[in-house]
Amino acid sequence: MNNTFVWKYVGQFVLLMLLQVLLLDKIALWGFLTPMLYILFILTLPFQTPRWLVVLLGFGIGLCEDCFSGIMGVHAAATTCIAFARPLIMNLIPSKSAIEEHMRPILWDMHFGWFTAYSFLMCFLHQFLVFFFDAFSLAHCLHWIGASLINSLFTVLLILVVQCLFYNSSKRY
Amino acid sequence: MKNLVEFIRRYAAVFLFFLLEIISISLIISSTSYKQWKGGKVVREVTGPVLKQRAKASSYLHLRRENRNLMELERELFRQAYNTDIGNRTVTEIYMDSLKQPLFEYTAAKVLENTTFLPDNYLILDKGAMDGVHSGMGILSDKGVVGIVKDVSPHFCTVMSLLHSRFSLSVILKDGVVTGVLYWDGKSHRKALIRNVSTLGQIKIGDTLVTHHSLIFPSHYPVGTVSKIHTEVEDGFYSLEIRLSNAFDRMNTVWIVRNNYQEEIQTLRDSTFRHE
Repeated sequence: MNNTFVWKYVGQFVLLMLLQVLLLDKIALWGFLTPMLYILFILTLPFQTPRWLVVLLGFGIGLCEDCFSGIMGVHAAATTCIAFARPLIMNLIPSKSAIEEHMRPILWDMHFGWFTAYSFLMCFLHQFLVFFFDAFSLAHCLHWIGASLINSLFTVLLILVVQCLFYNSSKRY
Repeated sequence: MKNLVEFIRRYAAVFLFFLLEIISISLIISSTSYKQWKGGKVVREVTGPVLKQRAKASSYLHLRRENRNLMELERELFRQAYNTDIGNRTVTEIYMDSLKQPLFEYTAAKVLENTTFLPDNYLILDKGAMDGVHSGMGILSDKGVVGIVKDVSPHFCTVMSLLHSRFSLSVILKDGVVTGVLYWDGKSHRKALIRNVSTLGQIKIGDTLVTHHSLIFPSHYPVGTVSKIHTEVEDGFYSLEIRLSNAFDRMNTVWIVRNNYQEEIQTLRDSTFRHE
């Protein structure tokens, strides 16, 4: 992993955070639909990233989002969870071709179906955990599942658009 | 020992995961508990400016709605202020008050074109016959009287401005009984003349003049303030110069005044004149 590669991810972190805080957090379609685009950062970390680093970065970006959105710790707890669950979800979805070393879990490197399923599961889990940590009970579990479903579909759509517009397939290096 | 290090290395992610989850959950608990969380102040210190900018930006997006709400409020206030003061109203108006429908209704309109420097000035508004506008309706701004609707097309109407040689309006001193008729002398868009003033006894410079005996404008709506008193008598009457309360060069939104009983009054008036 060279230096420019790291800086690219730092830039992505800042840009996604700004986009999330300044624009997406203000969107509340029908009162609850807020796309959580910032987890795209965790989604697209390279396959080789050590697991502890993914968890730490997940906590970091979650904490940043928390600072801007009221209750501290809610997003941090949720993003730490999905960062930890990332390899499990990756293994859960069958991949048609072998994952090569230079690849990243992004749309252009993987199959469309794989990437969509992967990002949907991550988004859904994240959204559900945000609801859960916010209320700290499972009282409205069913309602949350519905809301998380719709919200994660919306987020996945946005993720696909962002991937199409701003990401290139990884080069072999 | 080697085994222990190996064990920790192997499960580093799991340990880190649990550690960070514990931190997060304790953060949630401490920031939602009744006791003020100390870190909150520091966080707000950092995030405050960003959130402020965001709020500033998003308030621009709501200006249109905000504006509409203010217009609604203004219309409501208009109705309340100029439909209830029975004390200073004509017999017709008091009679109308006993009915359910208010005497006057107000519709907001945008000024599309407006002149102030011609001998006869007109306005064009963005409301027309399809919005229920008829010729002869009164036009007010929030500051004072503007003019009277002249011609109407389906979507627009022209308004004979107060700044027109054929415009005249009956006015009365706000806190008195001195009446007069307002004309525009074509000199300045800030000034107009009041003729047919019978006595100057009660009039001081700065007194407010309001509408009077009108079925087009609500009673006691401001027109202007006395700026000069002409003491010489013309045809048995004095005259005044007033400073118009409406800024004719700075109008964006005006109010079209609808008299809900215009037709009824017209019929009544026609039958009276026919019988004489």
